[in-house]
This record gives sequence, structure tokens and C-alpha cells, in this order.
Amino acid sequence: MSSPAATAELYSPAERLEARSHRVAELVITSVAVAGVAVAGGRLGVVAGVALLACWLYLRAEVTFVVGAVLVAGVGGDPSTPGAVLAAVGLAGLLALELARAWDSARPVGAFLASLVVGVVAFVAAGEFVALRWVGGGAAAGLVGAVYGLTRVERRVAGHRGSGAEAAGAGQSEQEGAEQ
Amino acid sequence: MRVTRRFWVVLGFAGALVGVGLVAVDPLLAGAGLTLGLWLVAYQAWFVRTVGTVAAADLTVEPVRARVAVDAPVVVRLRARLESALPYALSVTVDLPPTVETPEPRPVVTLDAGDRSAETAFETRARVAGETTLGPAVASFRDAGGFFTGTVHGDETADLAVQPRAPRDLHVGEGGDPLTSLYGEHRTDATGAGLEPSGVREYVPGDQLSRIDWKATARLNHPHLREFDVRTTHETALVVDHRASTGAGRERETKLDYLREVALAFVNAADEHNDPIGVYTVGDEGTTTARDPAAGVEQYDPIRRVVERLTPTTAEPTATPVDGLVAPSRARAVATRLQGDPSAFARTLRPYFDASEQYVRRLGDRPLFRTVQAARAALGSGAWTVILTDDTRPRETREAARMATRNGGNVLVFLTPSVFYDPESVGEAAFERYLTFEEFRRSLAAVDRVSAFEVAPGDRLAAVVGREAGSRRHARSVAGTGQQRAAGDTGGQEPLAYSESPRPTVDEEATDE
Repeated sequence: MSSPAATAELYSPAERLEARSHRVAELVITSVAVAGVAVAGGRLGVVAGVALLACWLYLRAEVTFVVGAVLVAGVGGDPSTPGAVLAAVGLAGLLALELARAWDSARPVGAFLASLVVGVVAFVAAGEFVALRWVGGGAAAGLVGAVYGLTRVERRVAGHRGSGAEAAGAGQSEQEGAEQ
Repeated sequence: MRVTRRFWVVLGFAGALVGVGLVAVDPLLAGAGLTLGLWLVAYQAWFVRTVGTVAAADLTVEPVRARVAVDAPVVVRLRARLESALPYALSVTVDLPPTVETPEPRPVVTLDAGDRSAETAFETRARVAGETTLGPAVASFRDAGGFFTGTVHGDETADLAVQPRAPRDLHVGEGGDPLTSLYGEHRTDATGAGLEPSGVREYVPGDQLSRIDWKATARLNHPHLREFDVRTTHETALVVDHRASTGAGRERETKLDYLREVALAFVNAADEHNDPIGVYTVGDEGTTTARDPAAGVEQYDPIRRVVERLTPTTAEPTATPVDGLVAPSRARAVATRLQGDPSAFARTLRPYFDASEQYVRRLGDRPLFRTVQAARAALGSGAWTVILTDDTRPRETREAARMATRNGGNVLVFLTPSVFYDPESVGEAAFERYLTFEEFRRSLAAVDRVSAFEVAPGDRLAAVVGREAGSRRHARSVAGTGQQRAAGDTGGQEPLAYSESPRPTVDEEATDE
């Protein structure tokens, strides 16, 4: 096995179908999202739901999520309607399941969902008083700040052992007797 | 921490959704983008949480041996141990300096998800002599989602002392037993005129009046002489054989390399005691250096340089020249003709016929013997001749040693047994070869005023002769061989390679005289 960090893989949005066939939980949650899209969009929503299901079969979770969000918005889904809420729950559940599968643990999923609920409540509450652009911009800035903060934390944690370029000078050879 | 393409793709999706949502004032798209961003942050947070486990890991690099020779294989252990298991795979490799050969494929220890320790060993070689640092170990990892990668360098490095290939574990001895000393103070165990006071004694008729110690005489009320330790100098002639056969052995561990070490020890000892020493070197076609004994720094350093720069000469090939190449004998004949030709053509060609190896004196056959003969002429009585050669020409060596004993000369012969420089020679066959050599050495040492020693790599000697049981077996075998030889002489068995009697015969003495 080659070094994980050294492997320069090209990103592909597609994932193999046979891997999907084992994910019953994902199928269930995707079905919720498909149903939500169908409810939100009527006949057009059914077609969009089928398209979303096809995406889930062949593409990665994040791509399925983006496609699902665009489809819900495209079929004219109002965020306050049951169909849109159902689709949102299904799509967020898809991301949560991907997180659980990757880390093989419920704790990151719990943290993610808890943060999401808090975020949605805060988003909705703030939306009552502040324009969407400010609420959205503020939330985005908060996420960027979190990414930066976690990067600093990672450097501090790994720093005492020297990570990446900080330890690039290691492994040098001192050739005192080279001319012997 | 580095991010992968997947991270950027997801970040792009999130940014696009948020951007479009804000522009279109669509809270659904904006919320979807923020959700995707939060998902990314969750991955990052869990990745950062596990980095601490990797940072606390025990990553060690450990060579099995701390000292190796250049190009000698050394096994290195690479070990990784985690305090707790990780949900993703961890690869640990090692930083090797450019002077150390990197094995292909590169040594990697992989801890799969859930593993806590793993270890591997790989073989490498150092190409350059010196102090080399192996490591540290480098752990590389990628989070379970494939968004982030990280690299952590271990704390521990391992020092590897890479020694140049040179004679090592030098053994000088007799019959497998090492000598305790080679050279020392030159006490004569006699008193007389000298520098070091030894004591006083009463004057007896016949003593020189000038030797009377007047202070002692006045103190003791009777004529007394002060005695001094009589010390002498060792006049030594080193005769170093560097013919083609002394090139046997591994690179920088040839017979000549070992003989060189012994020769340099004599030069150093002479330097320490300010003894006169000379050097004569013997190539395949004659004497390559002749420097008569003398004392002083102007003598020792040039001799050291001569000895250090000795390389095995080339034996004259006997094969028929092919493809237009000219045999050395033919070239010499042409060169001789050119010497007497004053034409411009001859002058132009002459340099091309000069031999690359410079000889002081070209000797047709037995160059060692003839060199010793010439050296002996320059030595005083009682001088020491140190002959350093191998065992490929026993008859010539014996003749040379006996020649050196003339005029009261003492001789030390240092022989490199071929069996110890032939890596193919192992087991019983090697031991038999050693016995044959030992018989020759003992026969040489039996000559009056001649001491003969073996010079060999200690590890090879131990491997062939054996350290403990081998030495007893050796003693028995040597004794048995002697009896066998004696029986063989009367029983008509095949003579050995060194088919000479242990002691010189009357005929040999007469021949030498």
C-alpha cells in the first residue's frame, strides 16, 4: 500500500454502483429525500426524485446533496413546505450517513447533526430580524473561521513532532569521514 | 495538514450554493451550502482529533548494527505503535539520507484502520563512509473521508557509523594464536657504556680509566665505575611484496592491504624509537622501490607514503595477443630498439612504450629473492629484515628468508594465507588449505633466526579455524598432519602444495652458500 498522503488521486464525483447496493440506510434516507422532492414538485417533482435517485446510485454523497438541493429549489419548493422539509431532512441525513460510514462512529454524526439543528434554528431566528445576505454571509464567515481555527489546532497538536515541511530538514547525513 | 481535491470540490459546491442562494435570496440554496460547509468542518474536526493520536505514536528506526562497512548490508527495523487505534490507515516510512541506498520498493509499515502496532525490517547499504543518521520515521495519513492528509515526523533517529572498507580485525600470529607484541624497546640485557645509568661497580684491572666515576669513587673511597644500560638500534629493512597475487581479497581488504598495515606498524615503531629503517618493494617484474635504511623524519614519512601508495602490480599476461594488441614482451623489444634510435620517429614513439609501472630494477625471475639479496647488501650485521608477502610462492619466500639471515641477520616473515582472502573457500576444504599453509609457516619458522607469522582478517581466521573447539581440533589436526606427512614421505603419498621439508636440508644450505 502506498503512502496515503503521497497518493495524488484525481477527484471523481462518481462512485461504484456495487458499493451503493450495500447501503440500506442510505437508500432509506435517500428515499425520504426523493419523496420530499416529489411532494414539493408534484409531477415534475417525481421526475426530479427519480433523477435524484439515479444520482445517489452513481455519484458521491456531496454531489447527490447538491443535485438534490438544486432540484428542490428548481421545482419551486418553499422551505416552509412539508415536501421541502422532507427533502432537506433526507439530504442532510445522506451527509450524516456518509460521515458515520467514513468514521465508523456515531459521535461525529451526533456532533454534525447537533450543530446543524442549532445552525438552522439560529439561521431561521436571525432571518426574522436580519436580511438573508447578512445571515448567510455571517454563517459562511463563521464556517471559514472554524476551518482556520481547526487548522491552527492541528498544527499545534502535530507541531511538537514536526509535521510536513517543518521537519523537512530531517534525515540529513553528516559525512565526516567521506574522504577516507 | 493538507487538503485534497475532494475538499476543494466540496468547498466549491458549498460556496456556489451559498453564493447563488444569497444572490437569488433563496434560503434553501443558502442553507444547503452552509450545511455542506458544516459537514466539511465536522470531517476536519474529527481529523484534528485523531492527529493527536498519531503525534503521540511511538515511531522508531533502529539498525541492527551501529557500525557497518561501506556497501555492507545492514538490516534496519521500522516500528510504529499507537496508543489507540485509528479509524483510517497509517503508513510509516523512513527518511534515508542520499548516501544510503533506498530499497525498492520503499520500506513502509502500514497500520490498517483498527491496528495499533506494526513492524517491518529492510536491508540497506551505505555508499559513503562517515556518520549517517537514519530517520526519523515519517507517518503519513489521510482522514476517513479523504478530505485531509497529514504527515508527522518521529522524534527518534538512529546513528549509523559507516566505516571505509579497510583491513579490520587484523590478526597477526602463529597457528591461529595472536601475537601479544610485535615490537618494543630494544634492551640488550647487557651493561656497559651508554646513556641510561644502571649502577656502579668496583674498578677492576683492565677497565678504561675514563669510565671511572669520580663522585662514586670519592664517596666509596675506592675506584668505581658507573655502568650504563647498553641500548642498541634496530636496523630494519622492510621488503614488501606487492605483486599481482597480493591483490586477492575484497576491495580494500586485500592481502596487500593487510600487509600494508603491518608494514606501517613497523615504520611507526621505528619512528617512535628513531631506528633506521629502509623499504624495498617487489613487483611482478622486479624491485619497484629501494630505499636503504636510515633514521629521521626525512626517512619515515617517505617510507610511509611508499607503503600507503602500493598497489598490486600487473602480472605479465601469457595469452596470445589478439585484435592487434601487442604482447608486453614484444613491446619491450620494440622499446629497446627505439632506445637506440635517434630519429624523430623513434623519439615520438618512445613515450608510448614507457611502462606505466616504474621499476627500479627489473628482475627476470624470483623478484622477491633478488630484492632481498640486494637489500641484504645494504644492511649491517644483525639487522632485521621484515619480509611481507603471501603464500603463493613458498620456495621463493623460503629462499628469500634464508638469504636475509646471512651475516647474522634476523628475519621476520609475515605471510598472508590465500585461504583467508578467498571468500569462496569455506568449510573443510578451507581448513585443509590452512593446514597446508600452517605447515609451510612452521617450516619457515624453523629456519634459524627466522620467525614467520600469519597475517589475516581475524573474522575469517575464526570462521575457518574456529575459535574454541576449532583451535583444539586445529592443534590435533596439525599434529596429525605432521605425522601423516612423515608417514607420507615413507608411504609414497602425494606431496602437498608446499612440498618442502620442515627444516632446511644440507643440500639447501649448500645451495644457498
